[in-house]
Amino acid sequence: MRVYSKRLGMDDRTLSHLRQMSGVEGRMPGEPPIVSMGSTAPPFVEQPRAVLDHIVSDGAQVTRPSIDPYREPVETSVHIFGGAVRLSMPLGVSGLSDLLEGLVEEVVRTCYRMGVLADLFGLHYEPSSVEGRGDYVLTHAVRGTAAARNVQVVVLGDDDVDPQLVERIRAEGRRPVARVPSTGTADLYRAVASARFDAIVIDEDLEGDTEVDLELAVALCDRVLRDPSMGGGRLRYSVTLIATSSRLRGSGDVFKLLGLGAEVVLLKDSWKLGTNVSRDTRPSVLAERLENLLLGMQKELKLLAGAAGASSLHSTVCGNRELFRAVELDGRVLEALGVKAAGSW
Amino acid sequence: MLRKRGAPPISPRIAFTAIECVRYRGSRFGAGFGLVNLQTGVRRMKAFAVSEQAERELRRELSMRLGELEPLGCEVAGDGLTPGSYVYALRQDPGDEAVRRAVQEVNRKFFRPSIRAHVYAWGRHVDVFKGVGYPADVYQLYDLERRLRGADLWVSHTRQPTNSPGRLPIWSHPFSSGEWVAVHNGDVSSFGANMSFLESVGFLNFVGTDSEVIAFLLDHLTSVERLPLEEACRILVNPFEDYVQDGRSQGRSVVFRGARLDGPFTVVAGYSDGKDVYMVVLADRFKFRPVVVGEDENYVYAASEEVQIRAVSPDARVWTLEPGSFMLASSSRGVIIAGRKRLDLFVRPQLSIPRPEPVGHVIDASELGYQQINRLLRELSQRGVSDVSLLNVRGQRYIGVGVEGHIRVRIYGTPGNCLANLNDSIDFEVFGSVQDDVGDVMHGGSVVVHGDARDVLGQALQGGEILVKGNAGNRCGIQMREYEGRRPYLVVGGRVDDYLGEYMAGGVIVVLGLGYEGSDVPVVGRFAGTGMVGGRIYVRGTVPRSHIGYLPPRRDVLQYLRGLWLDGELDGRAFESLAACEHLDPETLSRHLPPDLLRRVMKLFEHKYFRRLLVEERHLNEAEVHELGPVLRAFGEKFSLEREVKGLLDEKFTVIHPSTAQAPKPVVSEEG
Repeated sequence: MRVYSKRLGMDDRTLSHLRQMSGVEGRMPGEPPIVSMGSTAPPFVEQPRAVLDHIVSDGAQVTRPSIDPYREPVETSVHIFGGAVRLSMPLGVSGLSDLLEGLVEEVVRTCYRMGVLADLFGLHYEPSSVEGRGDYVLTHAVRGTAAARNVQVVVLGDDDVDPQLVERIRAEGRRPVARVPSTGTADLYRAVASARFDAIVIDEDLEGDTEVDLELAVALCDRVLRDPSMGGGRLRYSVTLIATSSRLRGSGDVFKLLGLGAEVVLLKDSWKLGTNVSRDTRPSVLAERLENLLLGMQKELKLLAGAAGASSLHSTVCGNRELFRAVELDGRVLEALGVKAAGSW
Repeated sequence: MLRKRGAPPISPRIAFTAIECVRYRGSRFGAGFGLVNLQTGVRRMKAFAVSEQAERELRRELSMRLGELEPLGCEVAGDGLTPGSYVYALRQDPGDEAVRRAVQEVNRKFFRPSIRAHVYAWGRHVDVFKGVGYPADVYQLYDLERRLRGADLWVSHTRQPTNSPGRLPIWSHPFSSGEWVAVHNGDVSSFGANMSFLESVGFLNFVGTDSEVIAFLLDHLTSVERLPLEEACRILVNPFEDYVQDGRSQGRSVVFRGARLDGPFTVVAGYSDGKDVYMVVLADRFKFRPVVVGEDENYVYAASEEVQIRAVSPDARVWTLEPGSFMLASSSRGVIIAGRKRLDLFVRPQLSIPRPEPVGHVIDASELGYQQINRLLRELSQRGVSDVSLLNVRGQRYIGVGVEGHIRVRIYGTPGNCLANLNDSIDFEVFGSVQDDVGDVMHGGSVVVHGDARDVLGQALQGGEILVKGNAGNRCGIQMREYEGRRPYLVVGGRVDDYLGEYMAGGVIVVLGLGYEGSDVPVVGRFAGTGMVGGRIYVRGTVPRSHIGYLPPRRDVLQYLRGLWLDGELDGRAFESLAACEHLDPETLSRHLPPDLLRRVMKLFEHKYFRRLLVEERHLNEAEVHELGPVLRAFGEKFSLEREVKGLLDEKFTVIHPSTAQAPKPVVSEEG
C-alpha cells in the first residue's frame, strides 16, 4: 500500500476552485465552477494524493435517474446528537486558533446562520458570540467560562474513557462529545460509544503525523458502531460521527467521508485558504466569503448526491458504501474501507 | 389484491390474469406469486436447493437450530441448472425470532462460494411461488391453478432485472420475510444504507436485491421494533423533511434513517399479524415509478397499470398515490389510508364517464396488438375514413404512433402508455382513463380524456390540445414549448400532482380544480413551474406559494433569520412574524425585510439557473379571456360541463410565469 503525505493535498486548481466559490476569485460566488466535460480526476489521470482519491462514486443510470438539484430537492440536512440538533449541511469549520478574536466571533455567527458547526478546538478563550449559539459550537473544557456552552468536547487518548465524566457533563446540561485521534482502536470507539457520548470527533491532526488515514478511521468507527452486539446495533443511529483533518480539500472528500460513515466533516485549512482569511480581513468580508463557500459546497454535495440518484445526504449517503467503488486499492484496504473494487456488483 | 371480509377468496387465476395482461412489462428473467392467508396451519418453510445432497445438508442445518423439520415434498424438481423448491413443516414452532435467526445463519452458510441452498419463506401466513420465466411459465411450473383454491391476498410480479442476475429463482420476486411478502418496481439508491442498517440489527445474508431488503425492513420495523404499520410505511416512503410536521415522526425518521428508501420505487406488500391481513403500497418521494390503486365492493387493488385492475374489476374506483405517500388497507377495515387527500373528490369524475355509441368504422381491439391497431388506423386513414371507434382497448401501448392524416379515433376501454406520442393530426377521444406518457412530443391534433390521466402527460407538448376531464398525475406538461403560430394547450378539469410544468418553455396549462371548490386541498401538487423559462400556468383559485417552484428548506431560511436576529441585525418582532409565516418564499421575505437583509437571505434561494417566477392571483385580463375562452368552451362542450365552465373566466386564477417571459401575446390560435 502506498503511503500518502498528511500535508494538505491541495494544488492550485483545487485552491482556485474554492476561491471562486467563496468569491475571492471569479464573478460567481456561491456557485460550483464548471471546468469541463470529462474528468482529469485521480487516480485515472492525476496523481492520487490520498486513499480517498481511489474511491469513485458510482453514478446514476437509466433505471435510477440522476436528480437535478437546482430544480428538485436534494436534502443536505443532518440531524446530529441523536436528532437534537439540525444542521443545514454536513459541514463545519475548525482550525480557528490562529485567527484574531474578532474573526473567530464572526465565524461562530456565520456558522450559526448557515446551520453548520464551529469547532473551537485549540482556542484558549471563549468568544462572546458563543452565547445563544451553543448547539452549533464545539467547545472544549475551558475553566471559568462555563457561560452558555451546550456542547462540550473532551479529548480522549487511548482508552481512558470515564463514564462518570460523561454523566457529569450531562448533569451540567451539556452534550458530551469525544475527540479522538485517527489512530483510535476499535476498543476506543467501542468505549466512547458505550460511555454514551453524543458524538465522536475523529481528528487526524490530534497526534501529528499519524499512521492511520482519516478515511480508514472513519470506516472503522462506523463499523464498530454498527456492531449488533453493542446496543442492538442502534448506537450507529444515535452517536454522531464527525471527521476532520487539515488535508481535506473540498466537497469530493466530504462526500466520500460521508459515504464511509461520517455525518459531519469539519474543514480546516481548506476553508481558510478558500476564503483567503488573514489578519487584515474584515469580519463582514470573511462572513460573506464563508457563506459563499458553504453555499457553493452545499450545491456541490447536492450535485454529487443527485448524480448518484440520492436525494437525502443523511439517510441515503451517510454510511452507504454501495454508492462507491474503489480503483487500484489492495484487498486489505478494500476490506478496511468496506468498499468494493470497481467492476464488482 | 386484497380480499375484504365476507368476499370470496381470490383465486390464483385472478392473480395470474392481472399480471399476464402486462406481460410486455417483464422478461423471461423471473416471475412469481405470493399470498397471505389469515387462516393457517403449522409454520412451513420453503427453500431452493441445487441438489438433493444440498437439500439434505440444508435440512440438517435447519433441524440443528429449530428441531425436527417434516419434509412435505418437492414443489418443483431441480434440473441441474435451476434448483428445486422444497417445503417443510415445523410441528414445534420455536417462535419468530428463533426462526428468523436460524434462516439468516443457514442462508449465509449456503451462500458462498456459490449458492447451494436458500430459504425464501418461513412465515405462518405467507406462501411464495417463484421461478425463472414469464408469469405464465411460473404459474404452470407450480401448477397453481390446481394446487391452490384461493387466498386473502395475492401479489404477482414480472421482472426486468437490472442490478442483479435473473438466472436463478432466488432473485425472482416476491421476497418474503416473516409474515411479509413484497414485490417492488424500481432501483433504490439507498440500498447500501438500508443493508448496513439491517446488518447492524442482526441480518446476516442478502441475495442483493432491493426487494429483499424492503421485505426485511418491513419485517424488522413491525415485528422487532414493534412500530405500528402506518409508522413503518411512513419511514420507508421517506417524505421530504419539510412535510414531516409531527415531532415524533421526525424523531423516528432520524433514529430509523437506515430504513428510509430513496430513489425510484413502488412497493406492494402483504402482511398478516395473525388478526387481520394487510396490504401496503408505497410510492417514492419523486414518484419515479407508476402505481394505481383501486377498490370495489369486494376487493382492494394495486398495480402498475390501470388496465390490470380493469382486467379483473371493470368498474373499480381507481386512484393514484401522491408522491411520497402510501396506501394501507386491511381485510376487515378496507382502505385505511388512501395515500391521497380527499379521495372522494378525486374519484368523482370517473363515476360519470359516458359510453356513447361507436361512430364510423368499428374495430374490436380485444385481440389485437398495438402494431395491428396502428396498421389498421393507417389503412383507414389512407382510405379517407374520418371516424374510427376502437372497442375493448386493453392496455395496448403506442396507439396512433406513426399514423398520419386527419382522422378521429374514439377509444373505449383503457389505452396503454404512450398514447398519441408524436401525434400530429389525429383527434383522440378516450371514454375511460389514460395511463402514463400520453401526448409526448405531440405537434398537433388533440386528445380528449373523459377519465383521468396518469403521470408525465403532455411531455414536450408543442402543438394541439389535451383536455382531461378528471385529474392528472405527476410531471404534467413538463418541457412544454411553443413555436411561431403553434401554441399547445393542456387543460385538466380536476387536480394534478407534483412538478406541473417543470422546465416549461412555452404553451399554456390550465388546471380548473372542478369539484375541489371550498376544500382545503390545493389542486396543484408541489414544485409547480420549477425550472420554468417560458409559457404560462393558470390554476383556478389559490395555490399555496410553497407549492410553486423549488424553495430551500424552510428550516434553513429560518435558521439564517434567527442568526440575523441573534446578530442584532433583525429585530425581534420582525423575526417573530417571519417565523410565524407558513411559507418563507421570496415575496413574503421581501415584505418583511429591509433590502440589505433581503439580499443576504436571498442567497439561500438564488443560483445561476435561478429564474424568479411571477405568481399572481388575479382575474384574467382581456387578452387572456379572449385566448382561453375558446379552449374552455371546447372543454365544456366535450365533457357536457358547459354550465360549470361558463362562469370560470370571471373567477380568479393563480397565474405562474417566469419573470423574464413577455406578457401574453394576442391570440394566435388557429381558430382565430
